[in-house]
Amino acid sequence: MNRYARIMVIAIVAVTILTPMGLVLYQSVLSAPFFMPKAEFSLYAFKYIFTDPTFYKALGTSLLVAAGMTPISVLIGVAFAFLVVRTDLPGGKWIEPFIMFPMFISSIILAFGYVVALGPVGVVSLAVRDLVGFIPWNIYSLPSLIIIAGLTHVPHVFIYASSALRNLNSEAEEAARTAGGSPFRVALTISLPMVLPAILYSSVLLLFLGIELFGLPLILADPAGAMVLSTYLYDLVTFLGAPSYQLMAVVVVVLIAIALPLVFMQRVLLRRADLYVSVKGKASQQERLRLGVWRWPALVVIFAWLICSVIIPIAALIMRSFVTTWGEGAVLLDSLTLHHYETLLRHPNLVRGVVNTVLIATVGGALAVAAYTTINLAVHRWNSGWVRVLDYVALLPRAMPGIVAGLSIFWIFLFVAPLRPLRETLVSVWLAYTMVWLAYGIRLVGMSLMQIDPELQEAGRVAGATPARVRWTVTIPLIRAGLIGCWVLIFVLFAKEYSAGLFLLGAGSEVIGSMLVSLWGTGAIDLVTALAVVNIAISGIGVALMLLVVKPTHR
Amino acid sequence: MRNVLLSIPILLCSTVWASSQALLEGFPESYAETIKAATEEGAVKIYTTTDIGEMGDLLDAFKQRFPGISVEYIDSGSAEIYNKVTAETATGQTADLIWSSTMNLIMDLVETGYAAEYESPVTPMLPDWAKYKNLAYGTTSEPLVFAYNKRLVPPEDVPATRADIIKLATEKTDAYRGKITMSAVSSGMFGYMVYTSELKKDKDGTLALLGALGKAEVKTYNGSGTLIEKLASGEHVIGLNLIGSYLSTRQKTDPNLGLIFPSDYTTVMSRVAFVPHAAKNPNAGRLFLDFLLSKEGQTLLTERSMFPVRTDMSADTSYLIPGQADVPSETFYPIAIDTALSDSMKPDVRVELLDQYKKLTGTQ
Repeated sequence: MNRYARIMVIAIVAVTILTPMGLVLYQSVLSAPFFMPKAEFSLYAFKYIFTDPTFYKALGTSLLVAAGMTPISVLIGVAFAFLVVRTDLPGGKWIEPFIMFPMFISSIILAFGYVVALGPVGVVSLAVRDLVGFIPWNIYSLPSLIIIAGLTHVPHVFIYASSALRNLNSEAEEAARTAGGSPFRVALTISLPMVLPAILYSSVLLLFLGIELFGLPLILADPAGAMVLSTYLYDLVTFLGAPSYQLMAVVVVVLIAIALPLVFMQRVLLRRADLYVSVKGKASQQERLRLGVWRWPALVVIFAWLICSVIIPIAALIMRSFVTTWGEGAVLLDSLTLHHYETLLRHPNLVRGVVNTVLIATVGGALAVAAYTTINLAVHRWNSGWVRVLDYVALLPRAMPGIVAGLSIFWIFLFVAPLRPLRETLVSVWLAYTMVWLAYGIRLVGMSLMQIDPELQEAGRVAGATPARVRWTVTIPLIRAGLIGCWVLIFVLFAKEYSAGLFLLGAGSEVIGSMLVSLWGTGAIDLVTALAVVNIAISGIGVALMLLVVKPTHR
Repeated sequence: MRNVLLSIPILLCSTVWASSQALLEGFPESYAETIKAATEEGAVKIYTTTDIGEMGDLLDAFKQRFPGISVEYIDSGSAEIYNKVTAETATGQTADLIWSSTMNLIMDLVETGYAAEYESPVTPMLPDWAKYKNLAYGTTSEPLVFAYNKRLVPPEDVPATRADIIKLATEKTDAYRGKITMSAVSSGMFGYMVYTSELKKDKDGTLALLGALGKAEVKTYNGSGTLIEKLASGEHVIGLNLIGSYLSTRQKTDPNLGLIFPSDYTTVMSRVAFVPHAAKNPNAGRLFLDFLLSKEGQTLLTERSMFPVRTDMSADTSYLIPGQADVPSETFYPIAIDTALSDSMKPDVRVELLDQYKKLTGTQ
């Protein structure tokens, strides 16, 4: 890509992201919704928020939750990535898809699964109570929230860490192992420092995710107790009666103010971390580290996590979708039913919701990966101030909680006249999804790109190929396996996403996520659980199919 | 009741047979013009809180009667509807009918000037509380009930009135601590609507009830889903002021849920509809509104436990609570569609009422 094309791509990305962002900033200094004639400049919203004690409490809780869950996820995620990718862990290849499972489910549904299993009258809770006489945990507490958030966010770290580990040359580890270092020592002193950039990146991303956590605290925080920033925002929107966007906008400004220094810190750390990384991916065969006696204990640890973070909530959810009642005094065997699925089959929007969800996850996911790849190629091995701009801009959408992102994207499609016809189509929904997952996607594709030795591209150039030809015949084929991996992940994320597109959905563009919200509102939890199981099945089948297709060509 | 229900499909078929463009029952001849104008518009777009899963039969009936009008039925939360209507109106065009169970938020829109005037031919058949200045119409009358978990509440504790709840909360505080639940008042518009309406009906009683509930550490949730699920599972055992239609759907599969019409008074809410002045197809919007209010529409809504609002149709509540057919309708207290609802949404009023609520219940 020539310089202008590169700048063009970055400019398009910046405009796409900064417009809705700017709109929210503008809204924060107005007295009324920006589209109302009576709106005028006012700092009232800032004054209100910054003098509200509940805001500080919520901010404190959010920071605490984020700071608490990040080390849990990072520690477990990195350890699992190391075990699965670099060691001879039994069944490593098979375990990998299961580690991704918590990502398949929207967090509200996941939290609901935990309530059914571990809540005060949960299936597991009651069994434990029958055994020991009391329930040794309280799921509606801050520590529970932190632990569950930490455990269920492991996949977010695992993706980055495993991808980075896969790209490492194993010679250094081999040497250390031969010299008598234990597997732990090798992991800590050789492998870990080499993948530090990926770990740092995922840590910062996780802090973001922790601060904007919504579904889990909504369901798991005691209604009378702890409030986090996003649930505070949710309450605030309606606090003064009609939705007060200016108050909501101020909270977003605060979130951005937290986000920017984090990105800055991340950049500084990455620069320093890069100094240690001398070995970057050459396509040499990796030798797996032998764990020796630690093979089985390691497997047991992974299984323990799988039980806590995957099997318990999902099994509870599946069970719930097949019973009429549960909880204190209920006999599950007497309550078995297929009724919920039968009712679901008659729901007028079911087929459309499923088709749209599959479409947006597969086709939409592929298009999103194409967009992320273009952006990456635009900044690939380019040392320029523009790249720094992109780094900051790409993470910004993550600083907006889902509902705000959805609302601001809706405004753009409504008030920018040329976009209006697209508003209630899957196109706008796709753009919204692509935007909120931008930081994620760019980094995912970027990691595949980093593993290509520049010498290969240079060889192409020397042989007389144009830059465009090098891109098509050398770079893209080399990262094809990586791109398909990204597609699988984006597929899963898009299959469960809904908040970003909530205001964009019209009749005909319903997705499963929006149906879940609507059904939840009318109290039809029977149908919600059945539909959630369908959603999980779609993700599961999709991932399995994609992996099957990928395998023969790339391994 | 059963016979009436069985005959509905037969009736439906025969009317369709006669003429698909026939006037709705009891409508004046001149109404043919509205139908003609709506058919020329060719489409109707509806923003509503009623899940489409509950509306399949009614939508089919509408399409059968008016095949020339395509229906775009978009169900979502009440806040989303508010956001969309206000923003879209600013660009000049929004949906053709707004239809929501959050009466206060709807009345706020109506009073701010989003509704267009329209006198429905059904107006004379509606009770006074269900109409507002030819602008907004109540389309259903839905009693808010107490619900309890039959496995866990002993018969002698099953409450019949608010006074019974106060008694349970104060005399058996330990047994019912954290076990009573209701809709969230500060974060949910529905719970807030019930709170302000009952304050209006019986101020001292409502304050006493909330004080007692606070002592028993009442748990509140936003959204019927969480609430009903936690009642059914036994995490909570008594729930206040739940929308009967949602519960009756659930009760069909889970007989452990008990429903009660509080006999001191039973608050009745209505799904309120208005045609926005920025509607793209106002005639189609009016037609759909009138269809909801027609005998045919009301009957179809009743099948989903959303009872008729028309004075010339009786709300057979036995459908909701079998064996409790003869609830004296004097005990029904309908939430009137008037400015009291929109007044309660004014920021200073809301802040004051919520402060009072929080002090009483000791919640956030």
